[in-house]
Amino acid sequence: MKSEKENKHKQFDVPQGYFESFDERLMTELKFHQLFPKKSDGFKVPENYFDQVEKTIIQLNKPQGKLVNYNFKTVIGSAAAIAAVLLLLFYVVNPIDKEMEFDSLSITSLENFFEDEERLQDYFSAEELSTIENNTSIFDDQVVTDDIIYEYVDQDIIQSSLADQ
Amino acid sequence: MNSIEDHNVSLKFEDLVSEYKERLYWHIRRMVISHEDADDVLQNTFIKVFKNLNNFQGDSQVYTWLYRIATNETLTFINKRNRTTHLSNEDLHESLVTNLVSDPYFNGDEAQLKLQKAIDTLPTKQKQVFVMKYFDELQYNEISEILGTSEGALKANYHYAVKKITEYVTDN
Repeated sequence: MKSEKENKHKQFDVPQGYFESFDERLMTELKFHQLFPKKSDGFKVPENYFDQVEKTIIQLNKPQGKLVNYNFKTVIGSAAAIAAVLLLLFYVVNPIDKEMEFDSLSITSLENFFEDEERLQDYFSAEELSTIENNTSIFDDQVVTDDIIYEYVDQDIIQSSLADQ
Repeated sequence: MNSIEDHNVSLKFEDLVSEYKERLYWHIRRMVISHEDADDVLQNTFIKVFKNLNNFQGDSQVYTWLYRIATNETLTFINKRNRTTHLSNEDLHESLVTNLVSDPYFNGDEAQLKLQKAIDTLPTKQKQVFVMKYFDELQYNEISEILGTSEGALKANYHYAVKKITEYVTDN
């Protein structure tokens, strides 16, 4: 009878040493729960913290000039407009000291950027970004971030370009 | 606003913040101790969530994904804080726990203060597992997915954590 019972359990297995260490593990748990019968960490938060932090987080992550679902034909037209405006800005703001021609900015980069809605840095080379930053007054006293460029390109160029069409 | 698809339900970023901010906050707070630090890490966590919403593949549950980001952000923060203060993790945490007595956002009793001190003696991995299992009440399979550790190893980590805490409190 005993061997039949053992056979019944042969289809199951337990980790090595499971039963040998069971008592010790159980006693540890019991002691712990005797010491800390109430589950509490004692931490608290300022009043209305969670309401306020939710607002802060939403505000922090509001899309700023994020471009979505532009028609690609419009994008090509807009990209050309952007290139023209940037080229003009370059010559107006810094006509003499030019280490790199502004028209070396890749139109394909602009098209890919608007088509895929990816990060600007993924499409412009560091040299191209540096050219934009160094040769216009648009970004004076500011670190050029995605958001600043998005906002500038979207609001100042694309929107006015679309409005003119 | 960005959104993701989970189990055929479209979840907006605002919904994620609303639903998970408290759980993630407590998870972070128990690791970094101070409210101000937890607040910073929570905000950084959601900024990362927002930036990566489109990359969420849906091959894990949303909250597992969120916990993973929060855990990584917490560890990054702790490592950065250690570098800045030039203190070891243990020394810094000891000082943070000692300061709990005068922390306006800690109202624990003597037992809870002892518990925090005991948790503080644990290595980071054991501390993480203990917090996630005991306080966050996550299942081992969930913790395994978040930390990328086998369930067997997690059980061992948890057992050693409980044992060390019990011994610390008994001896002190």
